[in-house]
Amino acid sequence: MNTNKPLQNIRLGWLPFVVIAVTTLAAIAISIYCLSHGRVTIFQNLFYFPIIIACVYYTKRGFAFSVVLSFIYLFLIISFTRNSTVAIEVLIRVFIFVGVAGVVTFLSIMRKRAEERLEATALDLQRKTELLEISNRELEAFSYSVSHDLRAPLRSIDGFSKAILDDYSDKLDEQGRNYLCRVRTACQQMAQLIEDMLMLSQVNRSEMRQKEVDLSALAKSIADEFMQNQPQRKAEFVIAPSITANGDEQLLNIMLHNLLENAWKFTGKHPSARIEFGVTKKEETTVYFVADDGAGFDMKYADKLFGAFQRLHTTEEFEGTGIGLAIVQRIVSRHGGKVWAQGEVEKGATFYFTLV
Amino acid sequence: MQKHFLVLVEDRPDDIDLTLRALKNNNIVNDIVVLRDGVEALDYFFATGKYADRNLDEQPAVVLLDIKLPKVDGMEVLKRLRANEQTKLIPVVILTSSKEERDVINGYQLGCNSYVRKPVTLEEFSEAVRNLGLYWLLLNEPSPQPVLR
Repeated sequence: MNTNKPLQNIRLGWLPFVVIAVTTLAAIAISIYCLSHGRVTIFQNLFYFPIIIACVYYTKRGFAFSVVLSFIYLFLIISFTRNSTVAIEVLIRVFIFVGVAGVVTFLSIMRKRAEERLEATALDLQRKTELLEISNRELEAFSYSVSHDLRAPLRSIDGFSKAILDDYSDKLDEQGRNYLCRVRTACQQMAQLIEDMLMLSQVNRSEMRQKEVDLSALAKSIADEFMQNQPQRKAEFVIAPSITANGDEQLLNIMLHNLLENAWKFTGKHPSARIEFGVTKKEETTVYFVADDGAGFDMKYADKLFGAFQRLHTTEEFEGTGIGLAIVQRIVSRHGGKVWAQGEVEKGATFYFTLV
Repeated sequence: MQKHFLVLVEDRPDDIDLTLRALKNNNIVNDIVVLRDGVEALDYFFATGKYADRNLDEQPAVVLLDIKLPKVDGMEVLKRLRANEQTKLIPVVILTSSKEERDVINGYQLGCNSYVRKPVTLEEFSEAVRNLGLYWLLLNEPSPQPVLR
């Protein structure tokens, strides 16, 4: 996982030590040779090399080693030359060596710590990813079980309620039949809720198949479906032609369906309705929108629109489970886009979204 | 002449009753064999265990198979049916609660003839059972029994 190994962790064995010893000996030998011939030489600077290596590879111990090296160097030169000017010059040099060694050691330690932190973070991240994968698998198993097991008893409740209504209705009075009808309505609501929850989890885990999608055509066929189901409604769909986007056709279809269904639903109490699907530009970004002139909403609840199970209307006013827009948001964010809404009570709502 | 009968593999008593009721109410009066788990289904189709003396020449016109079954699940039953020369042509309809994509794909890959999700409301459930009954028992022409050497 971690290919970026800290320098200290690279196994070089004895190599740094050998390099240090050889360069140190070379520096001392050259220095002594030059000084004995009365010349100051830049080869003395060779001494920086073992010091830096020692400090980088062995940090604190390297620093101590460098200090010792420097003083051996100082001692050897002084005892060899017995010249006070040279001795002072070498002494200054030794202090510079030690100073350099200190700075290099400090930087090395800092880097080593940063690398350790980075490694710890990477490990932590790996652990979290694993946990996330496990919980994802659990969620998958959970929703699978919901799909199978939660619907089965509902079928029994609804089925036998209907069976009583069919076979024993003469033994029940009006109220008894009414109660059974309510049981059945509740069953159907719960079935719808389960369905929507499954859809929400499916939207999250389904694999994306990217391609160019004709959004206008999708919107058109969704609109036709609504009009066919409720031909008595006076509604006009205005769909801009040839709007396309890159994305997963199935997911985008679900998203458009939910947005248009919302518009269709919340214009239902008005004598006539106009629902528009179009596209506009906002600072180079393509922004798609679905606008209606229906019940609208109060902008102060705008942040609640996209939360799962959040509803701004009672079920008596408008039916629904409160999951539709949550699904829209997941689909948009899976496409790397954003969704937001604008509205005013009784003046309609507009839902904008981007797809990257 | 083959007898046109139906096999229902289902473990939930409620679903069995609702299915039988739907068949009866829709005037589908063919014989129905109910098997309550995967092991019983395999015993039935291969004439083993308590179905050891069953006549294997008589095969159902259709099998309505649930996926989630005790002991051996529906997919395994389907796999075993398709792997056997004598049973591989029996029409199998998966009738289940799930419409998970992987179940549907898996079902078709194992060779089911149809995949139907049980609706929650009785009207829709009854309609689904009626359609299945009419189609597989009346309209569909089953393959003749394979002649075994």
